[in-house]
Amino acid sequence: MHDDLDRNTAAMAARLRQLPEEQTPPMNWQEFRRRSQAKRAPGHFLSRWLSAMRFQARWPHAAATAALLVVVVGLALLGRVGGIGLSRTHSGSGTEAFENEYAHESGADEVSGDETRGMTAGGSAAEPRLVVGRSKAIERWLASLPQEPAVVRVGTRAAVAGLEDQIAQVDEMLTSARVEGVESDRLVTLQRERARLVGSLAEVRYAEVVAAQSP
Amino acid sequence: MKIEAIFLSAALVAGAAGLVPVGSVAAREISTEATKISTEADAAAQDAQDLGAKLEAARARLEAAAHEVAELTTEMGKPVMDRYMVFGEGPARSIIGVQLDAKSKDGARIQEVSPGGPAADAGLHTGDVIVGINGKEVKGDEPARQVLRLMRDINPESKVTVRVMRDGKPRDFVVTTRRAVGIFSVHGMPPLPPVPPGELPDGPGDVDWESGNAFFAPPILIHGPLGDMELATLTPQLGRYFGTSKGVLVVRAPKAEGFKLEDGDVILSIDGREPSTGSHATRILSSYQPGEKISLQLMRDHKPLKLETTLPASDESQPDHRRVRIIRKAPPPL
Repeated sequence: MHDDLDRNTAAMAARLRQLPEEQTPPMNWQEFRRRSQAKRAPGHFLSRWLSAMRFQARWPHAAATAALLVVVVGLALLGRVGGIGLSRTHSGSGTEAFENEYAHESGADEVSGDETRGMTAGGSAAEPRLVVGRSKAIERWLASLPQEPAVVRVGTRAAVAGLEDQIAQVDEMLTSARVEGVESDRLVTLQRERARLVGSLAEVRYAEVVAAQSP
Repeated sequence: MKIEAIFLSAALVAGAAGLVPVGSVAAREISTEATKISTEADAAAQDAQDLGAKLEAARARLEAAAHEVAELTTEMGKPVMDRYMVFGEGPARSIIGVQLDAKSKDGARIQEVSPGGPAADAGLHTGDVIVGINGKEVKGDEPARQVLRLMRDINPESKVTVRVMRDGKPRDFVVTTRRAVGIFSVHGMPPLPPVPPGELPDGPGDVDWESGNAFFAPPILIHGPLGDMELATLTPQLGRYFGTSKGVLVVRAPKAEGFKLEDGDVILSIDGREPSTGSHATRILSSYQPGEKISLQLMRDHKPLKLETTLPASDESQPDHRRVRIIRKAPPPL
């Protein structure tokens, strides 16, 4: 009846048995003391940190952690500003430049290493893609909700409906803008406005879900 | 209090049985302990009640904050909406809620589907390629532009058959269009006489008489008693119970003087418009001004009823964002 489950369990058990008995500790006492002394020594913090990391056998993991930290901080900052009032200069003009920037929109939700480098080296070079990526992640959550609660409160539903209509309007405007080949700054502004509306829609829908659970 | 009674009963029974002399130290101790436990239980119950009330209050604040988020988001977006509303041939009157890829060939590829929009409700997906609207083929050069043009001839709140190619196969979806936000069509109206700039206040909303379209502040929030109304989409089972197969159930009618809707009414139509869901009914209601008269077709106590009523006025302390503001564009400098 549950042969497949049994097989999976057996396979998992076999894999677990192959694991080493214990992990190598990340650092010993000598390394800890060396770092402690280096911390007290004069010099730039970053260079000391990098120097210590060079001796670390697991430096690729540390580098990946640092990159992840940069992404998280970047996303947090992006979330805080919410795309409002950000100014951005585009080297290219016209729809072409914009489309190039959004060429990989379908994968925008996965923040790639290139985007990370763009953010650290070029400030907000990857910002539009990140805005779209964040928006897509929120849209997936919205899509997981029922279209409306079993009982809707007119005031809250009107707020939801108003935001949904505005998003649909911005989408219509984005299509028109693309068809007319307007400059990319306008497209970026509209895309940012859309992301802001989607973010607010998620917040209002969250409140609606919470209210719907009230007795 | 029950615990106290149980302990007292136990003490009395014990006394009656001769185990503990009535009035003895032991009985008093039991009674004291019972009182203490009872007091603690009452306090715990009170705490739970207080916490419940606090939770309810917090939820209410969350809902109020959500309204404010929606309101502020709309306010902040107005400059963008006003500035970029018109591209090329002007705004559409009705929309389906998709972003189209302007470069796609052999049909208009859907690049994004607006969350909660008509296309999303109908089941259209990102990646679908629109190849026909209401039987008219979309093909050749600039299919996205063709879709925009076809949509200009379609009235808001009408059903449109959208044919798409999905996984290489054609599929038809019926999409109910929505009125574009903030657009009030004035096609065919005679142009207004020129008004000197400055006579009307600056602000959201715009009128471009040349293109024949007026732009207004979008309807968004419903304040006051109407906002507290609760509605439920009628399921077949609920429908049988209430004696109708369609309509929207009024779970909680607004507490407003003169508003004749009651709990348990089923709204069959609002001025002839038949709401299919609670959201749809909300959208219809949000198109009216507070204090406006409406005609409702209802089912009450299993009997059809038609009534005229007046929508409750909005809360005076809240701004009314459904108010129409017509701002004339300043003429270009000479």
